[in-house]
Amino acid sequence: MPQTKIRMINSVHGYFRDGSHYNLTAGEYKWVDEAKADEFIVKGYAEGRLSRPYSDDEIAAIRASIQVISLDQEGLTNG
Amino acid sequence: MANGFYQLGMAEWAKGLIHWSATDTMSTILGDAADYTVDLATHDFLNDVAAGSREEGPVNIGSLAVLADGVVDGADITFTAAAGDPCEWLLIYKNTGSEATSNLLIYIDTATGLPVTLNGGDVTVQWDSGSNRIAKI
Repeated sequence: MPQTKIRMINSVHGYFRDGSHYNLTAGEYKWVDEAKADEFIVKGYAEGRLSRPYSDDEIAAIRASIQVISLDQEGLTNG
Repeated sequence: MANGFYQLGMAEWAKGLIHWSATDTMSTILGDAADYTVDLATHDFLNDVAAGSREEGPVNIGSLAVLADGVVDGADITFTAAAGDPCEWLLIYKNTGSEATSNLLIYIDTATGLPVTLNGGDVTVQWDSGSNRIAKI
């Protein structure tokens, strides 16, 4: 499968289809399968070159499954 | 409960044994309060956190930065294809590779989006973009 070089924006934890574990850290450059690279780029987790153009509908569908936990202004202070 | 610092971890931080930089690896896990009751006063290492309570992660925080006034920051994190029990908390710890020496630092159970029901999709954690970022120590 073709590989694409990406630069991580988020740190991302998960599993590849073969079951192998990955833990990609923000700032890291990584070669990953083209489909995974496209997914990460569309979701905003990484920078890189998409293998093809994605329509707004496709992008919305890919991003639809993301849930967000946000600290907003609740960032923790000590004391 | 509310967001808080693990007191024994903070003591190690004050001694200069915790480095919020590339020197140390800071990791985050997402977990289930049904299987772990936090004790900020006495829990010191990751082995105090029941393994069965850790639903997702660890994911390492990248771009660690210390800002003015003791504010610590880092890049947002994502748990992909997250599945399992509902999760009520996040915690951040210094990951040494050994649970018995990985210092617990920060516990978060109050944030928009918590608790979260894992549905097989991704869960992204966005740190505060305001004055406190991840935490102000």
